Amino acid sequence: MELNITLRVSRHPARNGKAFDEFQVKLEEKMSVLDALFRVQREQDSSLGFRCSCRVGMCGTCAVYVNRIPRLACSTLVKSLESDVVTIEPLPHYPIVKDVAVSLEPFFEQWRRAKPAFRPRNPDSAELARIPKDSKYRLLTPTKRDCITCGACFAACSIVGMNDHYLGPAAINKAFLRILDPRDAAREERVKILDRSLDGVWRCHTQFNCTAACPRNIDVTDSIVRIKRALLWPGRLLKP
Amino acid sequence: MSFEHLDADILIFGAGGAGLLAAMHAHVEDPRLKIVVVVKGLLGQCGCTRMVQGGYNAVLNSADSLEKHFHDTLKGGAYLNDQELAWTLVEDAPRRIIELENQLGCLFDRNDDGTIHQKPFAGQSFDRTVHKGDLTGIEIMTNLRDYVLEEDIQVLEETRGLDLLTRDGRVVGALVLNIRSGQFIMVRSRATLIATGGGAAMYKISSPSLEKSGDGMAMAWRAGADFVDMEMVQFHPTGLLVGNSIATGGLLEEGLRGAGARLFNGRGERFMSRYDPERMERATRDVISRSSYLEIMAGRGTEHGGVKIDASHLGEEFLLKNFPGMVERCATYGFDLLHEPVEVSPSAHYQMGGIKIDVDCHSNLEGLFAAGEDAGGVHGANRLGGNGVADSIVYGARAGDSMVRYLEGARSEEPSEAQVRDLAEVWLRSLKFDRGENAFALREQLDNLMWEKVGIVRNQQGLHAALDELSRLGEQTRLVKVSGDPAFNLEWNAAINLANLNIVAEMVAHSALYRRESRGAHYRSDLPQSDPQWLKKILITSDGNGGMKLVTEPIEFTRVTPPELLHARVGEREGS
Repeated sequence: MELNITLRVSRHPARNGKAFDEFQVKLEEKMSVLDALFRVQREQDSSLGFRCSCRVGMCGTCAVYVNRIPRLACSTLVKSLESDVVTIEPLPHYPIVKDVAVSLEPFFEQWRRAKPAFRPRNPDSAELARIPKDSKYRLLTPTKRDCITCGACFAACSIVGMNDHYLGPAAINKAFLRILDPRDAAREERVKILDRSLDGVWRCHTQFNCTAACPRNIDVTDSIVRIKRALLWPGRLLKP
Repeated sequence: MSFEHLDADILIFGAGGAGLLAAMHAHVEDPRLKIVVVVKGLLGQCGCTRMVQGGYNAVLNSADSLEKHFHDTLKGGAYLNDQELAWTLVEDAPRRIIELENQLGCLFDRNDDGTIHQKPFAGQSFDRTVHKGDLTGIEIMTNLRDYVLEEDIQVLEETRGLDLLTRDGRVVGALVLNIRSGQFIMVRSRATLIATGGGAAMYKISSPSLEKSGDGMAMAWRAGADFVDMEMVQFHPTGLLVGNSIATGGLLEEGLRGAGARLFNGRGERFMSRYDPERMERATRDVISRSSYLEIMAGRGTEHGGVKIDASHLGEEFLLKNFPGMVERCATYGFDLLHEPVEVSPSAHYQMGGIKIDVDCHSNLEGLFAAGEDAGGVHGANRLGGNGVADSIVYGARAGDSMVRYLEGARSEEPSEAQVRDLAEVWLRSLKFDRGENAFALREQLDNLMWEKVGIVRNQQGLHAALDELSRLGEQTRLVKVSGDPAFNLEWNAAINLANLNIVAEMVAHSALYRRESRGAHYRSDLPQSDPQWLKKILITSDGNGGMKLVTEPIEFTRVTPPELLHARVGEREGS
């Protein structure tokens, strides 16, 4: 089966006075939005600016707005969109580098403020820590550790759009993972950062936009809610 | 032409496992050092360590031993390995796993009792592959990235090395391009590490991340570095087939075969029984890929020119628990790994060959170091699954330590501005032509040529033809025309990628023609047997005029004598 679509791509800076260019693209049945961008680049307009690396959903660099929803271009089959017109725009809440490629700097600025690096309790231990089967870290975090920092949640979060200081979903999830890690020594410092009134977890309105947007299906909102609960009722953080 | 200027004690090209471990080790060793990491994509989000699925081989169980891991590695490598490099890999691998966990915060999967879980991979006498689910690379790179973000290590994102700068045979810095702005940067450095990964993407069906183009190898070659084992290119047996999609070649991980998944040809025959009845699907990658390829070439392939991997008998529950990433990857393209066979093809994956190094990552050029896929010799003629990321981590760390030691006596030298200007002019040429060749079209030609003539099965005639075509492609590449300005110009970067891959391709083809036998991943249909006489390395050096000179070099069997030599010696004695 062959697909014929109109690909509308946002241009930045505008080209020939137009904010969007339209391309007629022919695709195979199993081709993705990323394939469509490559086809345009190779056959119609080599100046197109977009980003990708692994093309199998692991690097998180090809997130774009597809018909106004943040998605990984490589993992979104055009067929699944059920639309003859596919509109690609850069993710919102980020400065644009070129066309649909953005700078993730605002995302990583918050990520750094959440102190992402591990602070080992036993840095010089020559043994691997024994993490028992019923450890909350083992039970709660495996999928949440699969964050690929694609920035989709940050783009989807309405609070991020209103408040430049808000840590945002992914950074909070990162801090949540470190807090839960029995090997980490900076729990108190991390909790304090998340509890700040202006930019911490209390800004979250529990709209689930981040969870809905996450291409790795991480329940980011759940991490935020667990932190809130722990701040209100200390000791409850680790309850599954 | 304007340049930005930057000074570094240590300049690192590449930010995968090797590059970032080097940065970390150097920084911990001496926090005052100015470390600059140049990364072609986004920090932590490009390159192939990020894409690691299966995991990392390390001896962590008292029932396992370094000797076993070492023997597996040599046997897998058809005894072409540099034995000191292979031994160092095996010996350092466990302590680096401990470092990844205890200092960086990675957590690999555990058994029920809380101890580390290790899974079976091909070619192993013990289940020793450490992993996090089936997407291990994300865990490693995320934690490494988070470390670098908080430390005083300068990272230049979306920036690529173009050429190394040399003075009297010594590497003193590099010409670097900021891809986003199109601005050139002249970096002066006292020690420089090449850790960009190899050029396996120059094959029609390939697995690496798309930005990889052997930049480090090409830069090192132009600067005068020596290379070994360049004929050795690994094809992973199970790359997805998704038509002409860019997803084709993306991998299904080796753990599936380790867990018992089976391979079938287009007729439904479990063909490995013909090629390796003992090990079947747990044979090493070189054997499986070649067997699949021969099946396909013999007309026994599937509808889309591949074979099939079937994991359905392992059961839904098992697959969802152990291979959720692979199930999901298949589902993205409408394939049902849980219940049906999925079409796969061998996919160019990794270069065993590379820059010749010693155990402390020194190249033959003063001031230049190499680690990870860019370096050759560790894996011999075939790399075991799970030894790749271990290599990057182990040798990245060693490179970091080694560069700090080197710096104690190393002075800083000013690169020549004239050299920088000349080099930059060459790269800018394609932007100035009014018309010329198309970089994307030439790249497609290169990918097809390598696949057909320098791929899984090679022969003398094909290799001669390939070298002729490569030299024509090289000429055409010099005539590529690129439109637009230098800022975030993907077409220009495609042209630079092409120029670099041409060089790597030429090294592979020359070396493949030179090795007159079959060994490991290198298979010659005109010389299908291994020949003990060929238990030696092929070294590529510069002929002084920019050409490639190939010579053989003996392998020092410092630890183990290959069985084929033992047999040969017995034979000699019996004959005399």
